[in-house]
Amino acid sequence: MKQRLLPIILCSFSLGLTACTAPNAMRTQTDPNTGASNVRTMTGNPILATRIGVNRINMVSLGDIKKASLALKNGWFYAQSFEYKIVWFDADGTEINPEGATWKPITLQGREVKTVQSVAPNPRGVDVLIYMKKD
Amino acid sequence: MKFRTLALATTIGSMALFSGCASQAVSYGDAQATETLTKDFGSTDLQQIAAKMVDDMLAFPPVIEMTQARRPVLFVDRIKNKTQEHIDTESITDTIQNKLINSGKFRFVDMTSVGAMADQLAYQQQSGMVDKRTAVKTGSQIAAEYMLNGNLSSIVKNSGGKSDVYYKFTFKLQNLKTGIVEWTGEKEIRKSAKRAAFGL
Repeated sequence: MKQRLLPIILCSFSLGLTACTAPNAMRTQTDPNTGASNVRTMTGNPILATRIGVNRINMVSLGDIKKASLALKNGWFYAQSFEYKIVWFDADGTEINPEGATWKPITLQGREVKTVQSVAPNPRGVDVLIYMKKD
Repeated sequence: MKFRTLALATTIGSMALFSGCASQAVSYGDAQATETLTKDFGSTDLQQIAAKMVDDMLAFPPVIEMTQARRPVLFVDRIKNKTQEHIDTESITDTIQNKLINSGKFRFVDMTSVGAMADQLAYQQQSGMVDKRTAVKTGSQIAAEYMLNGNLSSIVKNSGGKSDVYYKFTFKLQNLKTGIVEWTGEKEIRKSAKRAAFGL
């Protein structure tokens, strides 16, 4: 019985460790015909999802360039330090400047909502994808 | 017999351990990952500064208006490094320039290559080695309309095993014709370090 239990414990432990480093993501998808935008959440780290989330995404046009404002919320009562990365996509869903998006460190106090912003690298950028991870 | 086996195993184990110490493990990392090896100015600071400056500049209403119908010509003066560290400030301006050019909103003249261009043009015009029909005609370069320059300063404080560094980067866009500062941007970075109680 003990021999059967050991692999299960080891698997659960390694899965738990993977979940700790996996990022969560949220992506906008704009319909090129109507201009309507949907938001899709990809949860790779359920533990992190209970602590940090994206409260809302606003997209505004600055001339022909778009700017995304994302309100990040700390759902816990104590400070959380984590990293986020914002990636831009064109209307065809192709990532713009794939090696250009950098991870940025951020700290949110307990229950704090902080807005982060990103301007599209060029006028082709229409959708954003935000990754959040905590090492 | 048992002793000999144990001695052999110990020797092999020790050799493996020492050879492990001598070898060097090399791996590629993510250039976009946050770097917190020391509190000194690093790649993450450079990337954060460049991204903030470009985003702020592209989002500023008069700059949006200025770039709607045409692509103004800029030149980068330099970043004054007022910190106590040796920082390659040209690397910061290169990243900013790269992002601004790729935004499709601005064009740049590069003052760092003026000497090389002048040498090449003189060679084409005066050396007698180049077919005059193919030589580049001088006097047609486009003048810059705006100048970018800035400052990087820091405040460092140490107390006991703790240290804190605050960086402030300011950047401005100045109209060469009127002298008016059209836009300024600022990015602050705070980093703290604590000496470990144990360890090397």
